[in-house]
Amino acid sequence: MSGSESAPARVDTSRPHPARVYDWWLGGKDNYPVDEELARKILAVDGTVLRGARANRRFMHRAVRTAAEAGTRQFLDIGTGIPTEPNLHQVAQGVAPESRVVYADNDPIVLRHAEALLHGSAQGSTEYVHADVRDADALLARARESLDFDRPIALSLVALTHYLSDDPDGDDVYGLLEKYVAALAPGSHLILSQVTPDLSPQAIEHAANHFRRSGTPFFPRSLAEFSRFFDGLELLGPGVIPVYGWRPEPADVAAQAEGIVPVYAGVARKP
Amino acid sequence: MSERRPAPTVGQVVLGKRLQELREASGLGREEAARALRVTAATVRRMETAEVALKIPYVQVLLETYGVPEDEAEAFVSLAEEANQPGWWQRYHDVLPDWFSLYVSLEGAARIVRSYEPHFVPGLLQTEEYARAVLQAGTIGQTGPETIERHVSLRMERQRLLERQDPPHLWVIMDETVLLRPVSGGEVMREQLDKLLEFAERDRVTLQIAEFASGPHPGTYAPFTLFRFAEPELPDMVYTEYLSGALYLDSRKEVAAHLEVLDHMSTAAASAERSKKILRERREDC
Repeated sequence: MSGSESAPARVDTSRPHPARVYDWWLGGKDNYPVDEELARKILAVDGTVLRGARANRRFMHRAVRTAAEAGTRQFLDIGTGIPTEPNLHQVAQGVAPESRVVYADNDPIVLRHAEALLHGSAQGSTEYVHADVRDADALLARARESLDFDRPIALSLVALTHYLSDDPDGDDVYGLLEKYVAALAPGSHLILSQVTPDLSPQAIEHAANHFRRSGTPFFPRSLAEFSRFFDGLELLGPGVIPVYGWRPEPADVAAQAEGIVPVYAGVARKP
Repeated sequence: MSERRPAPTVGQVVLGKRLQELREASGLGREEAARALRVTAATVRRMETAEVALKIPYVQVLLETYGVPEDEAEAFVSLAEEANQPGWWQRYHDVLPDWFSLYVSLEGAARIVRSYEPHFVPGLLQTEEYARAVLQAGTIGQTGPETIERHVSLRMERQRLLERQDPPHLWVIMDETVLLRPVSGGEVMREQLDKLLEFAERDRVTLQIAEFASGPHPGTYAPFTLFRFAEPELPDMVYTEYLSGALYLDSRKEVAAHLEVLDHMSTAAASAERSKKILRERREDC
């Protein structure tokens, strides 16, 4: 287990952090009052966020299981967030105990929680990398220490791209994803989900404003914009679809009946 | 130690709180609840704060008064019966202060135990000799050797927790001072460091050293422990000690303040991997 050494001395916890806001929505306790305040404000304007957060977790489980059952034994998860059971490595190593998992997050607190509480199977490996998704070179360099990029990897960014802008001089989310995908071997998988304004534009506009006012830029994307992330890849069935509809299990079908969640999801294979 | 009933178990504390929530949800005040039982409002308060054991017939009447559905009421009653069973630690009631009894109960019920230890190796990881030395130094006045021995064996018995089939995660931030403060002779310290190194290898134990080099940190007041339970409806609880007693905090605000301090300290302290290296170096030097 390798630790991350150079965590910054002080993290700013006076402002809400998306990972901890998310933790509150998931019913977790690793969040502070500022995070709870924003989580509640957003919940008040978009009543789907609690289900949306759970739907993203459940999608991650199904997508990771799909990749693992297709023979993938390496996983790179960016924007891991606060540990929430079951975690990705538990799903992957549940299918194949020898699976190697790398978690990457830019928040040092998230990382310390992961280091302390996420321990993988003895046969596989579970590593934690302190890196920002925007710095693909650094993140990939750290991931290469434990993953073999000549063999397939399932790369997951679940509920992450809506924090990244299109701006070619800014986050350049499309360029960024191209860079990650270019680093992957054929047969690798790309697992994505993100918030869309297509289904409930007003609620999402209000939610986005709350995020922005708290210092977190927020970029909901339309079906076409989200689908562009998979350009050049082979989408797995059923394609890009509202998150609960992606290869649903009985519990997901039941959850769908409670109403739609404004999140798109998709999984694609690199040819 | 007084002749009062033993200190509450975590189950009693939690059920007392739940009883209060159910009363509040039904819109009844303590006076109205008390009337249903033909007792005073103070008695209802003492039930809710776990100052008295939950009498099952009282609980049944209250749940009915609050309009709690039958299946939930049954589940509550069976939990209350269970919570009224004394824990193994009650055998140590002669030396165990009331305020610490709850700690032992919380420790046994928790899924995650996070603590900050500025002065000593945490009790759950102490060797017998280290514990004896610390307990001897910590007792002033007319404490006989037998009492100290009782304390030592209580502490050793607490450690069986970590040998359980599904032990809690123990996540400790220990100040570097602990490694430098000689407790008894060199042999005691060497054995203690060996034990820390052994436990640091376990999946369910995370040991981080807050090095002097990382400068001042926000946890410099007193040792404290945060308990997290598997049941999502149970709030986290914080335990903090002072010279003659202890405080248990469970309000969102106070728990969050301790959580935030622990999180900051964990990012500033050496990682678990580096902490093992520090421990090994210290072991070689002593």
